[in-house]
Amino acid sequence: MAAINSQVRMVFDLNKCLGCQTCTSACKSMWTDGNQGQMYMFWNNVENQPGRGYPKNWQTLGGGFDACGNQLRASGLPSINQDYGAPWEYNFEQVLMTEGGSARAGLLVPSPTPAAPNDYASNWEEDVGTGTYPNSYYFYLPRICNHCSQPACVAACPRRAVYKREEDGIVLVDPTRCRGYRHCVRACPYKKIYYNPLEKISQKCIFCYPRVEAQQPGETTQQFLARQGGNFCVTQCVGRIRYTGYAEDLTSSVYKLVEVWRVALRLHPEFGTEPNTFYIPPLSPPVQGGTGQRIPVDLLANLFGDHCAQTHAQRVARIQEVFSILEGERARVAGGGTSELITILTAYAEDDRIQT
Amino acid sequence: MTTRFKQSIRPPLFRWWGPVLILLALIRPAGAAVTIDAVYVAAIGNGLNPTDPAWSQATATTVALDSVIGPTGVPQLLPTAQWRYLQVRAIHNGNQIFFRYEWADGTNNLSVADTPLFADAVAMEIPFTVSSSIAMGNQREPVNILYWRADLVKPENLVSGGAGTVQKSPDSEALPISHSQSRTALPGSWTVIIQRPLQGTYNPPAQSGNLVTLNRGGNYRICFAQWDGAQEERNGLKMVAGSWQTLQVH
Repeated sequence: MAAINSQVRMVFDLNKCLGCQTCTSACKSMWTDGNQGQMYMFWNNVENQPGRGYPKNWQTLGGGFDACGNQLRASGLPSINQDYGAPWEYNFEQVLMTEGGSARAGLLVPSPTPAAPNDYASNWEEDVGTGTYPNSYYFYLPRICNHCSQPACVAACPRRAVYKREEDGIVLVDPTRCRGYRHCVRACPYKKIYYNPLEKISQKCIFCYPRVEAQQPGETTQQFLARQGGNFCVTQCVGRIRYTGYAEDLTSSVYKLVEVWRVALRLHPEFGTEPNTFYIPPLSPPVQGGTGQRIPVDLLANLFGDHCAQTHAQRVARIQEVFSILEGERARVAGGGTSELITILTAYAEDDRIQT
Repeated sequence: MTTRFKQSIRPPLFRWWGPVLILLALIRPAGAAVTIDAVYVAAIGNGLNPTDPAWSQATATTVALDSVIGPTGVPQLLPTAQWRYLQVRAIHNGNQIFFRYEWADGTNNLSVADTPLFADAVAMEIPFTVSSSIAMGNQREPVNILYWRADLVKPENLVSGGAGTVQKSPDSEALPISHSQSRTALPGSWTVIIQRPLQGTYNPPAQSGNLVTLNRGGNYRICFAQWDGAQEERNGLKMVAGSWQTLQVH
């Protein structure tokens, strides 16, 4: 048994996510542009919910632990072309004349053209809503590795090639120890650990640890960011929806959002891995001619909760409680008052969001 | 904050497992331990060619792969009906030794190029010391493994000091190890020949080097494992000979 002295956390405010995929592009260009075996990987992805997600149907594939226990659940292994989506290239140089000369093609087309059974990719279902007009709905769900407190990938690796760092709880794969068994891919219920078929090893989100570690004592957040510090998906986030900090830092925004204001919930806590990413569930407009939220609370309760033992009814109640807190604090500020919660969620300064 | 988390699912091996295994072996029918004769053939044309005349002088020995690896990391005997069989031949010319493995496998699994794909594999294990734990060696008595997998350019030279510690030796690529692989038509079988020099690189006094030396006239403990990629077998998911066999180098 290993002990963790400190734990990084990330909070996503889904009310502010605009689905721009800048986080995805930032992560992709920073970490998974190395070789052909990484092309299908999106350590950070943003998917439409309700939807099949990335990889396809990951929520029902299996993995994690059974009923808050320590027995790993069975799971399927997604296929690169059919479930994650085969990587393709666009004919930019033919259409956009980036090489000079005249355009040789009028249309931007992907190559290879995704066709059945490989007609799938990350963000395949962008802006595909559910429900009937005018009450159709969807929301964006950004996902990274959750750097879980009970990481199933770590438990599943017989070689201890996957490990959780004592100093900050970041979960990493040692590429020199990994032999590509893929027990970790099977075990992760979020399917956030990927197999590189070229290098024949598993790879995953590293919480930008070389960038996070870079902060010098006494350095301001502005100085830190100017030196390319901080999680790249966080610093590039256009909507400023992401917050990072340490679970035990009582002054951090992540601590206040999760533990004090209790407005941030875990994604699928029933998987039993105690994820360290948290989501503020999305409010939505009322259905036409009614008062109910357009995104059903029941649907959100299928996704979000506090811990693995919570019942569905308890999760529904918690989401209603979160909405009540959010609406109450919004009304307070609209009425001329002040609210610590709304100040944090507004994220006036980068210091409010980036606290690792 | 101090958080304790679920670490590896495998507890360490316990000393009392040895006597328990011997007892189990006595009361349950295991595959009989065999001796593999590495026959001296002065003139070997191309030992990697299964039709080379030198192979007619070899003795075919059948090794029962009678066990799987249990949750504690040691072999667990299976009912006879579930055993697989590995036919082993070995020849040498005083310099190079050739191990020839043949086994039935109806599915041809050559690739690991997608997450759900696993390739067929076979391995032989020889301790660096006189003996060791059959279950991937132990810390003081490491084992040397030659590991062939259908997708690899050449077999890997592995060293291991206990379950979960196996690794490719840093000099694996440079070691003069080569192989050939071929399949017969349905119902399907593999023929894999692995060539290595008798002279290894392991130096016992300094405990350096990663390829065990095989001397003429010597007897060595040897064990085998086989993986069927179609059944997603890899790592400890494999069929093994549950006890040491003998390699006799003539």
